[in-house]
Amino acid sequence: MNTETASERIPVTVLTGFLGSGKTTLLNRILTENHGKRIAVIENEFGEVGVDNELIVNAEEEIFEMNNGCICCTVRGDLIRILGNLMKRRDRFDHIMIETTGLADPAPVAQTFFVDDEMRDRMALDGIVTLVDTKHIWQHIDDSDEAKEQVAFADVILLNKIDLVPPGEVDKLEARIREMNPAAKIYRTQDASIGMDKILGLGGFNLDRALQVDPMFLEPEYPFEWGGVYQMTAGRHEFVMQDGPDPEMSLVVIPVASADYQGLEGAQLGAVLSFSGEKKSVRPGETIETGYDLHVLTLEGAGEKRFPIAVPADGAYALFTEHHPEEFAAALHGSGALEAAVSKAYKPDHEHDEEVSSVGLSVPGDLNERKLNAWLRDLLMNKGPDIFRMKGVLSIAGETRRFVFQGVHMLFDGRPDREWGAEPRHNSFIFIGRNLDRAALTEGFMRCLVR
Amino acid sequence: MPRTLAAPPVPVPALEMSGEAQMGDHIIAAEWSPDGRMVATATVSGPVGIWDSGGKLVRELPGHKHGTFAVSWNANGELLATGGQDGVARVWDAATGEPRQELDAGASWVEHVAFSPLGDFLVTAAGRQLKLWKAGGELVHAYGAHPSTISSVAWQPGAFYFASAAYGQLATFGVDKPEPVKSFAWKGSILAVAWSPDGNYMATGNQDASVHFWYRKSGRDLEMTGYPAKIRELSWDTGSRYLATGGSPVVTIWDCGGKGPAGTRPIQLQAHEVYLSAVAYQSNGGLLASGCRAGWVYVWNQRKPDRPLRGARLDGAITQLCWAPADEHLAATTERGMLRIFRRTSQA
Repeated sequence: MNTETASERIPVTVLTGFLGSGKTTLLNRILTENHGKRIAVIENEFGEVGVDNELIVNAEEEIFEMNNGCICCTVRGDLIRILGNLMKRRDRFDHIMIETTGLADPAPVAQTFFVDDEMRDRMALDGIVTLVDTKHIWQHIDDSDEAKEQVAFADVILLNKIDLVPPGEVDKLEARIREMNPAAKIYRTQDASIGMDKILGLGGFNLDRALQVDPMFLEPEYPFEWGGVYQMTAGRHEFVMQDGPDPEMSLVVIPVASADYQGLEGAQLGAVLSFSGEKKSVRPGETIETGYDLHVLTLEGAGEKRFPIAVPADGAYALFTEHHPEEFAAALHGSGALEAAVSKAYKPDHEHDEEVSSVGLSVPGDLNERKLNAWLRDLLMNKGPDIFRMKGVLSIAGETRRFVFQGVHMLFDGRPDREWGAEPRHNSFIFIGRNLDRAALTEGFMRCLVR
Repeated sequence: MPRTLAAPPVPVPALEMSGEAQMGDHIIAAEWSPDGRMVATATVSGPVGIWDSGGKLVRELPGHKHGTFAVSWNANGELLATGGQDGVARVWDAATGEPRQELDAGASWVEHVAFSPLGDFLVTAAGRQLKLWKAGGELVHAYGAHPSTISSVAWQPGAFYFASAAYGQLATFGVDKPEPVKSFAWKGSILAVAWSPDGNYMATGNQDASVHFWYRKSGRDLEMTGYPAKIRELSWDTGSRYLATGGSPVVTIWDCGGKGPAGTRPIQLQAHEVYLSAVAYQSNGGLLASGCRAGWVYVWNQRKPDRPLRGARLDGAITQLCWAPADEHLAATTERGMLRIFRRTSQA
């Protein structure tokens, strides 16, 4: 791990977007706007933009595979060469802007800043800005991998040319894009008109920004909608349900340490794993066992249904249900109706039909650095090609500073930034990619926590 | 990963300084004149200086608008060729500083110019374009575009052949043919090529942290791995037996004697604490100079690998190290514009 802080490195912004999305217009704005920055622009498609105080270099995309056993690891050789030469100049640039070709996969450009030791030491990926042609994106978004990747990789997405489509269309598009990449900041623009502070100086990953987008996005999504902890005595209890909206419902009853929030939260992960495990079908009158077995209650036919629960010993038990019990006017009965000591409604798991999606985690506590490294190494070796981006702010045990990192496919770059100070130590983490396994990612990450 | 020795860096006697100059900007290229009396240096902002061995400025050339990349003396020392960011290579009269020729190299960044050891041929490489000229400005061959940007060119010592390297291939050319003599395809990015003085091998330093030996006759290649980073620093000893390489803080030397370097362990010299940025063998004496990103220069006798013979620290990362042809002086340049010339002593 590098001890250099991010701020000493020159920020690099990567500009992606299909042909006609407005990249050249945006570049012209960046070059002509009075922002007081010296910007070097590496262009791919030839455009006449000659402006004082800025340097424009035309690059021929030279992508090559790193011969390092990393199957998805491609980099841009031309950038290593050109930027290597630019970095020798005494009149350093404040910012570097790289335009990619319309159909480009953003990965090789981004990976260049992780793979080459000189690039990594001297420059930092500040952000990936993706321009979307609001009118024509629908032709690509369903069947073009490049379009999906450009959206999934982005830190900032500009929905450009909004003047050419009705507002309802833009809303629909934004919702669609938000599903693929909830961490990106989305702006609607006309003629690529946008404040420079919105696209430059993003500083890699800004948690606050991500939270502004969706305050719940770092909340893990759970396969259950409700959980509650009950103090129960040994013996027979009953889960009583009235008619509800679904013909079946899954639940699990897990013994926990205490009938409070700590007890509930301590059981969440186990419950997640249960819900992705084997199912045990239960008809009314059949007994629900406590433990990690997932029970699927069959609710066919109208009328009240009662499911006995065999409680083996006095203690606290957490009940996690697929749907909110209110939907079935369901209740737990012992000698009388039981109230949950504490309960919580969970953010429901989206039905993802998108193959490109994200997994976010937000967990208090400290991480064991060795375990984290081992887990990430393993994860990236096996799933690297499907993980487009990952970003996070982590609390590493024994480190007084926040550990900020980001990655692209199999590569990542992390380093400490500021002191935690009075701020509560916390881990925030997001993966964006294809076919991500939420439960596995969650479990793997949780295992890295210091117990 | 090359084996790292546990020994800490030790104090060594100082290299003896013969002269010093400051160019005010990153020095990207340096080369001694064939008679060893002058060294030409170029900065990334453009100016080119010709200095005597005491560090006194003999002549200044404007070099190239937007920056100079490369310098090369012709065999008799009358001409100096330069290439830069203005799309041309220039041939200067070294005695007067007058530009004699301006050659269109075919793309805006002329990163490589190299005079032949014999016959005053000049190779220029700009982007994917490779051209061969006579010193008088006559275009001998404009070779077809390379598959990607040319990253290095090198003449075979004492011969009419040269090699070019790029992503995807290494190729050799003879001055009498408009096509490559041989082309070695390799799916990787070659950053630097160095031809052994006997002409038998071409060594390449590569982006994927490997060094390759290409056997010129058979076309076979041998891959040496274990480096932590890309390798651009290569130098052959005059006997074509040893190749010194960078790519780490340790000077790694492959021995091509006997059955080597296949399956052998390299000689490793450790004193630098950060990555090397230059290595250079003497032409005759067999000593090796190494320079690193922290500005240290050491001179080694590899038969006494425990510690360098002499050392010195300059301001800024070392960018070039070159011995004068008869090894009487060593020039070192830095990214902060410093040129320092050391004198050969009895020990170094």
